[in-house]
Amino acid sequence: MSKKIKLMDCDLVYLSYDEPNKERNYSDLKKKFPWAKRVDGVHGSDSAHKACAKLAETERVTIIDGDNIVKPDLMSQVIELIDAADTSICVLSFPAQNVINGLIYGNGSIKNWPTQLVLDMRTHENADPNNHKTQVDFCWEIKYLQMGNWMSWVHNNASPHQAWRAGFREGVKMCLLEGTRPSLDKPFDKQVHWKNYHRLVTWMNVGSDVDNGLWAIYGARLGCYMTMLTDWDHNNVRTFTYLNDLFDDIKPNSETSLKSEIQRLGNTLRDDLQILTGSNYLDPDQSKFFKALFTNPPRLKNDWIIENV
Amino acid sequence: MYDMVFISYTEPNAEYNWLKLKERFPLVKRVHGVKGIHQAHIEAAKQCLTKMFWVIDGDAEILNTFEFNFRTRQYDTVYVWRSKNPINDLEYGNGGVKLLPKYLTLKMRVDTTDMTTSISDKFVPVKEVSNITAFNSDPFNTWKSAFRECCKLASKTIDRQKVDETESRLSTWVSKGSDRPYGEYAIKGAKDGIDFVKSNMYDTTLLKKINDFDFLKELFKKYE
Repeated sequence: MSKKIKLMDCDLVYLSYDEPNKERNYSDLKKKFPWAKRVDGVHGSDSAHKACAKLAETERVTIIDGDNIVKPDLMSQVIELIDAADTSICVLSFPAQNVINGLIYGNGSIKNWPTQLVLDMRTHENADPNNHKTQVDFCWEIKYLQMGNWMSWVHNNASPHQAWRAGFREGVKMCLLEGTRPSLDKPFDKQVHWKNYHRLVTWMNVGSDVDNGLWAIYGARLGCYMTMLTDWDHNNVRTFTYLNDLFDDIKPNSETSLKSEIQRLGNTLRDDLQILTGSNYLDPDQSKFFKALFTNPPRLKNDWIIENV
Repeated sequence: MYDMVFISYTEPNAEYNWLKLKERFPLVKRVHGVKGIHQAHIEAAKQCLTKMFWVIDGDAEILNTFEFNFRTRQYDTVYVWRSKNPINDLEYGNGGVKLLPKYLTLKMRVDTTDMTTSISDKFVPVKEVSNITAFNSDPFNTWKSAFRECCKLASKTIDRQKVDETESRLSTWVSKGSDRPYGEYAIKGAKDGIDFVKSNMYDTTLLKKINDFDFLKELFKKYE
């Protein structure tokens, strides 16, 4: 016996905020799936997801972030789960390919949620202050089932600000252990999961070949630096208005200055955390080479999943 | 890599120096218009997220060769770099970049004449030149800087002062630079500072007034 989740049976909601490419991406989505609904401009990740759930009329809802271009075969996805699987508590996470650095994983990717779970959860800005797992992400508290098929491209480099913010957020989150900062008394790369460590150093080094890729590299380095080497409260990463103000305050105003800051941060991260980075990052040709040859690691297997077709 | 704070008050060239520094180091923070040297530095420390932090004065023109890349594990020590004086060419800690311990700065006594020595008794002068201390931006600011520095030198309030070195510096302050922009105000300020100390050597309350810029403005009125 088994149970199936067909994405075609689930409402589809496009969730945008201030992405500079959100209208283009929405238009692309509507051409592929004209019935897609939309939530736009809601502050706070938890509240924005709840707005999507309220719009949904089905038991499960597929939420697509505003920087995604989806693959046309998204709606033909059928996931077969074992009969014992509790579909009311699990999120299906389809990986996405990041256009800056080629990484394929759950960052900014399409998720299929149990509608009631979204309405009931308390995360990000609505999190219990004592629950460190829910302050800045969904994934440490909610059961994610990682799907094998990647279903979208994340285009988060339409402006310096968008690329920086994407890099900064991952630079913070890829450091954390279920929402808490690792100890400085132990080697950094021995504490964070190896996949996260590899993703972090990829964010910090790859992408100079695409528009605004350097801004993502700068953001990732700065996010890691502020999380690990200063007294900064990393929970601020969940608040987009805070991040926007921070960017306005610290953005380098020339390419020379941007490159210099990337180098300075890289040297510090290498010297203080022994992170695989330094003055240099991959140049455009090296970035292209990396993306052409890099094989993303397989996603976690889960006993509940029989097949994802 | 430590937080950097640019501290300005009324220096006419502060905006120019700030923009130039911000261009090179976008993460630099700014404290502006806080009255009192000690209070301004405490405010700077409050803004910082690292155990140590750099302080750059509002009149400091940072040399392109200075990278702010010094690192230490001595979180109880004050480090002061040298600056070049544009009037008399002296090169020592006056107006130089400082690296301060955050928590000791937050707790420092605010009623002392010399701020850096009130943060910690561990003080390391670094021989590298970090900047030009471009204090000669107008008559008052030029006079004020010379007055304050020569008060400190002449009153021997700075720990670890060497007598010969101090006398030599004072001699230079009162004699060199009249050909440089506002140089005559620097010399007047230096002489006035030394006289002020001689007249008030035993009045520690009055000596502390050298950090009160309104008080100094009153003293300067005789030249306006």
